[in-house]
Amino acid sequence: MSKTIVLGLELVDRQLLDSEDRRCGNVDDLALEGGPGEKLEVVAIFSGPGAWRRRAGLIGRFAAWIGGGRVVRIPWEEVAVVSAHVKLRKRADELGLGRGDDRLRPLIQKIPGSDR
Amino acid sequence: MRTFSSFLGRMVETESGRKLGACRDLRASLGSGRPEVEAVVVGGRGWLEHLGILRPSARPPMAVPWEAVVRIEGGRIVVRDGTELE
Amino acid sequence: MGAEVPLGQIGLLLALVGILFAVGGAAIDTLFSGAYNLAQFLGWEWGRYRSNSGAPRFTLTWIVLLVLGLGLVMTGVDPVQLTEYAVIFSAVALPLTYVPILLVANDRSYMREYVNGRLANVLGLFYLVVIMVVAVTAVPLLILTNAGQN
Repeated sequence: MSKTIVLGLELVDRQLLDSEDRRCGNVDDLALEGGPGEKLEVVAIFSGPGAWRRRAGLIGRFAAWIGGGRVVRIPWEEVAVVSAHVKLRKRADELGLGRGDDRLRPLIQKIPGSDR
Repeated sequence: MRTFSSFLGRMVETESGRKLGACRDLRASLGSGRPEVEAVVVGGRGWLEHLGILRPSARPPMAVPWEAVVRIEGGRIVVRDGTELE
Repeated sequence: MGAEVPLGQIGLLLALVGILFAVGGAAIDTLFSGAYNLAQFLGWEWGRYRSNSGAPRFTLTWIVLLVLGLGLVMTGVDPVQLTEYAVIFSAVALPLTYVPILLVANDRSYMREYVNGRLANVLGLFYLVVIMVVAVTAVPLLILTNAGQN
């Protein structure tokens, strides 16, 4: 049973959720394989500031530079469900996502009461 | 490997040069495996129309089937002569 | 006559405490609004239900905004004039909050049978034009009228 979706409106820019429902970034771009005369398939999701470089011209390149320029490639096999969010099969740290939160957590935890 | 973003904005033309409009999006079928692209969504009057504000809301976006695409070069997506928007 | 003075002092105290709570509440709303905007746009974890350490970048964002806000107030700038400028710049940002709502209202996959009809879109586009005119002229008018002094 298959559904038709319009990629730019219904897949790109959607929130990524890992297997534990942690928010770990957005779908920033897609990797497609194939070409004219053959099948064209989505093989991976790109997530991270580095993906903005290709999308929004000059502002995109500037934003990518400020954000650190990292891109994470998530093979499509890691996708569990596509709905209002894109749910992934593994945890964020297994896929290389949500690193900004992981790196800052020790710093924030030093603030009293931060676990409430 | 192409990126989705590399498709956006390319002019969709027939081999004989008739312009059908700029690529605004890609339509794909989502099954149990990888999504497969079915059509190139083409917008005539810009992104407001693509997003549904300037057109009668009953009409789905206009597109050319992926099978009609002959080659992708430079800033263009070339489709076979005789392809019409559906 | 003797009863007026103690009541006046208590009243002033109550008023000050009330203002503290009102301003504090507004500050919290503003800080979280800014942090929500950034975190939700970039796909970060957000929200208080996750506890502070569950959403580190969100937490850091509102802390930074708090520090910036405090810094701004401590420069001694006139708060009334600061508020005027803030309101004018929020007018400039108006289209950015209006357009997404108009887009979602036109999205048949979200709205189904309640999607915007022609009348709603005609009115919606008309108001979009009004808002864009306001947004574009706000800062030039501010400069031209010298913030209302002329």
